[in-house]
Amino acid sequence: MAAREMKWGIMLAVGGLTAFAGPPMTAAQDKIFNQKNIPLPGTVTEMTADKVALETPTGVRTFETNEITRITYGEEPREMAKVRDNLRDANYEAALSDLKSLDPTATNRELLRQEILYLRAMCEARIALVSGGKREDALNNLQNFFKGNAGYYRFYEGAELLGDLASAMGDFGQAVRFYAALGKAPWPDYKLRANVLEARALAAQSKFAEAQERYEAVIANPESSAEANRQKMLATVGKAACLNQGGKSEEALKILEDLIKNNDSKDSRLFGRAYNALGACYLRTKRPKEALIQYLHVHLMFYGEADTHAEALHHLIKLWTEMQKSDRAIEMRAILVEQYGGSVWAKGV
Amino acid sequence: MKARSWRYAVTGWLVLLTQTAWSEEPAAEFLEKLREAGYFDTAVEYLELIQDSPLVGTGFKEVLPYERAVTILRQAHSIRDFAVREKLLDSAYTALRQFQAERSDHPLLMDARRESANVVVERARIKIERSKKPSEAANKALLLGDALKLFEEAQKLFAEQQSELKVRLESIPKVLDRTRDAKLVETQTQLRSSYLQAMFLSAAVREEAAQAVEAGSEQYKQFLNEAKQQYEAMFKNYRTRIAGLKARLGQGRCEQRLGNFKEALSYYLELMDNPEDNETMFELKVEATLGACQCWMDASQAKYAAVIEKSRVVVEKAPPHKARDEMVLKLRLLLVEAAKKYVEELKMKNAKDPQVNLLLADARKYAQFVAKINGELQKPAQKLLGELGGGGSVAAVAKKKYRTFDEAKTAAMEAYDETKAPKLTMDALTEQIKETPDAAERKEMEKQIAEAKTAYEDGLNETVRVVKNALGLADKETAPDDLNNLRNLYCFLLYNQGQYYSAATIGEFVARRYPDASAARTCAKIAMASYLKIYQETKAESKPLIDRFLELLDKDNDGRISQEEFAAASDEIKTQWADADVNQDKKIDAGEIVRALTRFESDHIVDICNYITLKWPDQPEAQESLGTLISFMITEGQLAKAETYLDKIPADSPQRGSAELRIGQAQWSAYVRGMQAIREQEEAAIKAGQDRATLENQFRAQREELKVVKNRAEKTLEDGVKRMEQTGKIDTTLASALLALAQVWIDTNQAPRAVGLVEHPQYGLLKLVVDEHEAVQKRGFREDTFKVALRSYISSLAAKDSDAKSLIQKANDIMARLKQSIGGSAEGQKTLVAVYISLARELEQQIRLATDESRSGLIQGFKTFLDQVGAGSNELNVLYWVASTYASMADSNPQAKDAVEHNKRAAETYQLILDKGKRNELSLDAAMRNQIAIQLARSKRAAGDFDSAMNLLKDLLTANQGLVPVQMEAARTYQDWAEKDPKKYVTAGDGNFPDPKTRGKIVWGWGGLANKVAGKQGFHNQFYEARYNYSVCQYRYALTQTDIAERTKLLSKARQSLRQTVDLYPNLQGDGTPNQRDFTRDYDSLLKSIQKQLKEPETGLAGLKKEPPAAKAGTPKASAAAAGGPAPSGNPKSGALPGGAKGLPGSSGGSP
Repeated sequence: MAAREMKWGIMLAVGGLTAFAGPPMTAAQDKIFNQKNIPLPGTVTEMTADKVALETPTGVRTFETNEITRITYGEEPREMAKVRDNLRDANYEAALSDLKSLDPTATNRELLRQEILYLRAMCEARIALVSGGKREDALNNLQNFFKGNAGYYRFYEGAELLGDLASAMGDFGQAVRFYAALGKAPWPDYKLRANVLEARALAAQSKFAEAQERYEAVIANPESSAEANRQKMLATVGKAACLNQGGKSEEALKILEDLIKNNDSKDSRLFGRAYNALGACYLRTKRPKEALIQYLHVHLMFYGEADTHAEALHHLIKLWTEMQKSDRAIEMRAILVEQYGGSVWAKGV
Repeated sequence: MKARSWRYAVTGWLVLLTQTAWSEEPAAEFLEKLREAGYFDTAVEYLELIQDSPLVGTGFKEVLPYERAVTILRQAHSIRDFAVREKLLDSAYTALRQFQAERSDHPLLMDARRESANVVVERARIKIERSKKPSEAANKALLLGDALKLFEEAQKLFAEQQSELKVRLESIPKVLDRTRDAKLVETQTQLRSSYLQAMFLSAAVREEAAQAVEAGSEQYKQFLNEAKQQYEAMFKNYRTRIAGLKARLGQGRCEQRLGNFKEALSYYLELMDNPEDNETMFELKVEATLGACQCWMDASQAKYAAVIEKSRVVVEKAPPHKARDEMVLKLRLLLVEAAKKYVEELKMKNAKDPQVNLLLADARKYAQFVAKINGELQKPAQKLLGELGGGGSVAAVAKKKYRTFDEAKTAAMEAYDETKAPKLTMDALTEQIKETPDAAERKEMEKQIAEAKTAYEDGLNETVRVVKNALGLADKETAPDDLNNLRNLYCFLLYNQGQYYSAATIGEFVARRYPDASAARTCAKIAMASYLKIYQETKAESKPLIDRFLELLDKDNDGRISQEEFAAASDEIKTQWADADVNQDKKIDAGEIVRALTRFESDHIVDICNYITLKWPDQPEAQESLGTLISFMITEGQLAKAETYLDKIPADSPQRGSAELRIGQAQWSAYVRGMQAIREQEEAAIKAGQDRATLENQFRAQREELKVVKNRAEKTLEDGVKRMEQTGKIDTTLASALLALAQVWIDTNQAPRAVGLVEHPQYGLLKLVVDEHEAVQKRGFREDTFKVALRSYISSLAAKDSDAKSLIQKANDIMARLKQSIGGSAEGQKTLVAVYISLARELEQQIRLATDESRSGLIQGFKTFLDQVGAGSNELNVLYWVASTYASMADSNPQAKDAVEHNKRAAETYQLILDKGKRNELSLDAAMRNQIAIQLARSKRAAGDFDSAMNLLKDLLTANQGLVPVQMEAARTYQDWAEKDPKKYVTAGDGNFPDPKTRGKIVWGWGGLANKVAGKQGFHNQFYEARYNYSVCQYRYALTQTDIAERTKLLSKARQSLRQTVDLYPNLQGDGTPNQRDFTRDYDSLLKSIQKQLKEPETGLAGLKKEPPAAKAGTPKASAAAAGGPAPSGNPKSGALPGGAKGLPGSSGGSP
């Protein structure tokens, strides 16, 4: 665990612009893809956790890393296309299998080597999150990657993933620290997201008062971008969950109902969490039928986020069993174990 | 979950129409998801919950009843159980009607109305499906009648819709601008669609109604012709639309069913040749082809080649996702059948026609395809396969190895079907053999029964093997319902094989894990039946075990294990039976031991019964379970619990009546036992010196509680009998309950009602007994019936306006029947006397239990009867009974004014018997004569005629001094006499009438009697009673002394003699021999009374233990052995006690 004791703050301080050797402009080009998936060709000349510089025929353009969805490299092997397709479909196992067939040392391009190594570590982390196996290894691998590659443009994604891994392992203290690194990002919505994640980790440690404080800070933030607003909504859900735990279930219910009324149900992540929180409120106020309905909303409609779905399944198993619908409980259990066997929610069911 | 196809499909358009804005919860979508997942019950609950939810908009809330109805309709499709389906449809219908009533202007209104009509049609379909079941053969006509009515109702609904839609369509302008009038165009389109649907459905209902009447009948033809006309009209107006084409198809079906194949074929072929090619048309063409092929298959057509050709085209062209549609599968089978028949035709022309093998190969292929698909067509397909030479016999099928669950399951069902024939044979022959007198024939039948039994058992074993095979092949794809149906069969088989534990395990597994499965209830029932069997087996097996336990632990041989005895048990038994003493009487009886040993079984029975009643409260199984629970609780002695279960059985349930009767009887028994216990306690208390008034108060609360029990018993029995009356069924339960109810009415001063039960023309107790009905064959039932009848007549004499003459005549008849029933043998006579004595006791009890106001009337009634009976009879039994009854009446309340009178009457009757005996008018043996003489003396004593009593007794004792009962009676007589003449206390103690021959006395007195029987086996009670009364006489005599010193002296002697008895013969409780009375309380109470008079501490017997033993006058050696040890036997003088020769002070030794 020595590696984990490394301070992320120090890492950041020493991380800086890293110069890379790259191929001449006339070779196959790198491409930076923005949020609209529009590629911009050029050569990546500089890269940090916050920015990437791309040399184009018209000059150097600098992108903030939060604008970038992915970077492809001119000299990357053909397999990378398939890897990226699998990643797009969240088919991490297939992607990992292809990545393992590639030799990162076979390239001269440092950026490409980093890309391959990161994607491998990332796939392992994502798989471990769901399946539950080898989480510690995945965490160490990812952490080690960033030790040597602090300026990699997916730093903040990595920090969040590390936090998620730590949470999945029950080490919420460590998770808070990883999320704090995410919070060092220069963009307000990232900070907000980090705060929300930290608050969730605090709540997972039953530090509800502290978590609620964080949530309220997010809610009160004046930032009004779409992502900021989204984080505020997630923080609202989190706050309601804390209120419920503190015995103020009716107040929590009101908050959640208002949230559902005033938001688009297409946001599966938000609604999934909101309905889980509603379920928890009804459980606390001993209304099992209503609780069942909320969790069923998640299972049948808002199951996109693995952890959220697993949580709902966990409660559904108990509720169905209480209602003497053991066949349905069995069905839920089978799904939970099959799809989220590694989740904390699958323990002891 | 498999969706059942039906013509009147529910459409899922609702999601579109009610799509919500994102300011609300996505209720419609969520609801649809719940339905798709099969969570219909949760969907219904959701609809209830969101009524007040702020997250759901008013638009959706308005349609909640509609949504509920649609949900329930969808649920009904997924259920195979008829009863549950019908209930769901009823519920859906109510919800739809509610919606229509509340939302008459809603856009969904027409859809709701259409669905309402569809519900009605679906209900009619269920009736028709049920009518086809063999188990419903008796109800077939009723079911079809109901189906017809429902079709009529649906037709009416569709017709109404049609009219309304027509009006609304006509109100819309014919020419509309698509842009400007967009909304109106949309409305018009929707209305047109609804109109067509209504028109079509109206015709379809008419067509379907023909299924509810006899095929070929006038009504049948009328329905089809009407439907045909409606279809024709529709086709004419809409021939280019799908609706019109469907109508054409309907025409074809109607013609086909009317037997007009030519016309039917013309329509079918027209459709088959339609050039359009989309999925809807494909389905239409398939159905048309099927209809055409069916027409060609008819014997009048026999165009098998056409069938093969046309059906093959459709089957081969079917898209993959349509290949397993029901219609396409049917077409395949029709092709197979046609191929078979065509092959026969070809063979007749040319046996070696090459087409034959090709056709058969093809047919086999088609049959195999269908045979692998689970469903209604699987079995026919397999049969055809067999006929084609590809299936093999059932046995061969059964022995095969299976690769899929479906195959194995089918084979299991077939194997089970094979067992039915030998079972039927077995049952039929078993009945037949009872009426076959010829030995040779019987032998042959026994042989056949044995063979059938072997075949049956082998069949069951084979079925079990295949079932297990099938269960092992089940995987994630296997439909849960199919799997559970197979488990149901398995469970049933195991039960039939007597493997009750296994049957219970599987049955409960399915019932609890899959409560909504169609097999769940049956499985639960089998589990319950299995546990009952296990319970019965364990109970039967426990008897030797109980005997052993009692032998080991029951030291006093009273049939129960006391706390002290239990302390000597092993730790294992103590643990096992820790809670065995259910009735908390500090003793464990055999019944409680059985309960302890069968705890596992009884817990499971209660558990599964409770589960069934909770899970399926409205189903017959729930009521059957409650009935089982009630019987069980009664057996277990938990009457209160049994009563709570009774309340859960609906009043109109067939189980209710018999449950009431059982509980009523149990309640009455509890009442009688309770009153008996109070009486025993009262008698003991009176003997100990307590006064009646105190006792009245002491037991008042208990009596009140028992009165409540009695009233409940009466009501429960009455309700139960009324219910059973309605069923017309007479069984042992009813007969026993009638007896119990009659007893209740007799004992509650409603004797005339009891007479009604006794004399009821249909199920009267006397009628049942006279007719030797099977319900009254239980041993002793006849005698009990006559007793109840007698009591009811006698008790009715007390009622106002009673016809005494008639009642007495009836009572006499009963007594004659009793005599006839029990027989004229010497043994029979004794039995009859015993019956009369028990009757007398019951009358005595009845008088005691009677209220003050009714008692005198009751007694008067009895007396009237007794007088009549006694006067008119020359029979020993009758006279004896009369005398005993008078004596019982006197004993029931010795303090009553007429007690003396009763004793006199008793005495007179006894005397009459003796006199008649002397005159040889009655046959009296010596034993009987003595018995009667004792009774006579007793009655005289009770009447205060001591002289006469003593003379009688002396005569008896002169003949034989050794008659201990007579000696006791004589002593008792002197003792009672002493209340008037205190000196008789001395005589009672010391005896009278010196006998020069023996140098003793003819009447021994208590002292002499005690000495005579001291230490003798079998005289424990007599000995201790004698010694007790000896001391009582001393005590009471002392109290009559006015001189204090004399009194003190006598009291001291009384104490001394008591003490000596206890010291020399300390075994007051008995030594464990049966029937030995415990005299401890009596001695203790007397001693305390003496101590009180002597102004000593009233320590009683406990105080005696601390004192040194009493002076042993005349008992030099025996005392050491006797003190603390068993009574010495064989030598009466070894423990000689004060009294006897020396006597009490004042004793003259001669007669008083």
